[in-house]
Amino acid sequence: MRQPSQLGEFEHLLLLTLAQLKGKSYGTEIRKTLKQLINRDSSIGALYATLERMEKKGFISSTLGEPTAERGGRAKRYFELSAEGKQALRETQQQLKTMWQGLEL
Amino acid sequence: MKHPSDLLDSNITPPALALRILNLSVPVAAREHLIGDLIEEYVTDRLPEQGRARANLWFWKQTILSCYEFLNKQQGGIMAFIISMLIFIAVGIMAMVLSGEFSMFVNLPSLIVVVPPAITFGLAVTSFESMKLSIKLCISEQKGIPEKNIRLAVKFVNVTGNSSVLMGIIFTLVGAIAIASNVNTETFSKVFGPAFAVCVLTAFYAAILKTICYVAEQKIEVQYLMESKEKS
Repeated sequence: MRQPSQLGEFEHLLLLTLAQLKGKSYGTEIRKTLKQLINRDSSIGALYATLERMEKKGFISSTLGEPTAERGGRAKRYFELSAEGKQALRETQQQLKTMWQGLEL
Repeated sequence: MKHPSDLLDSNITPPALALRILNLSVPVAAREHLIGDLIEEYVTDRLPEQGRARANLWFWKQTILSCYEFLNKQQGGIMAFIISMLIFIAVGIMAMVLSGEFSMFVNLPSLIVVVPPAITFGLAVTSFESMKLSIKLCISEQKGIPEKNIRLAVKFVNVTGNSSVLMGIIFTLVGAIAIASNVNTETFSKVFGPAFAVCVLTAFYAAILKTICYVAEQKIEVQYLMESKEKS
């Protein structure tokens, strides 16, 4: 039987952010959304390291955008939630629901 | 060809040193997008809202955090190599200072007869590109380098290290012959000590260079040759 997905806390938050953004989004958008929604100020290094790790796990996919002058001629990398990523989110939600059952803190 | 950062107005360019550090420490796979995101936020949000000083401070903070993330967590082997070299240098300096005077371990001619010839022999066997690659392989993670080039970089470090030992032996012997030929009973006690110290310094510098080359050679072999074999 397949083991349910084990998401780290930051991985979980990033997948949820990508789900909230609905569609392709790049690093700066993801950081700003995290800040707006839950006031989480993450470093760009931690963000990319986690996104890369999740891409290797198959939870997200990425595509390259066009270089722009305001980025010093550097291209954007757009990330998108994959079917495996959505499945991992559903499994994590189910695990959390189970853990919260009967608790009143 | 223009560097990408030249596309920006010089008044809104982020700190050049921070950009250079990011280019060295962030892996190639994430480099372009990560630096692009940082420049975009710096130019469009931070500079207009916070002014240059605070925007630069923010850029430096992101640079340091990114370096920590990629160097410490993902390139731990390279960090360990750099730290081990720093410890070696620190312990060496401490030992020299504790044993008397630091200046008695410094002798430019002894350094010149060991280091430049050893590096020249390394270059003669390989190439200047192999020397540059060997330094890059030790201080940052490199991807997509052909195995042949990595082997040439290893060969450069190997030949340089071994040549330094041979230079050390040869020129220590030259010094010993010179002392033996020139010393006499009247001046022996006054001249022999300082002359012998300078003569032995050649072997000392050779041993230091060989140690650094040996560790660098093993580091490159383990990280780039043995690991790639295991993966394949």
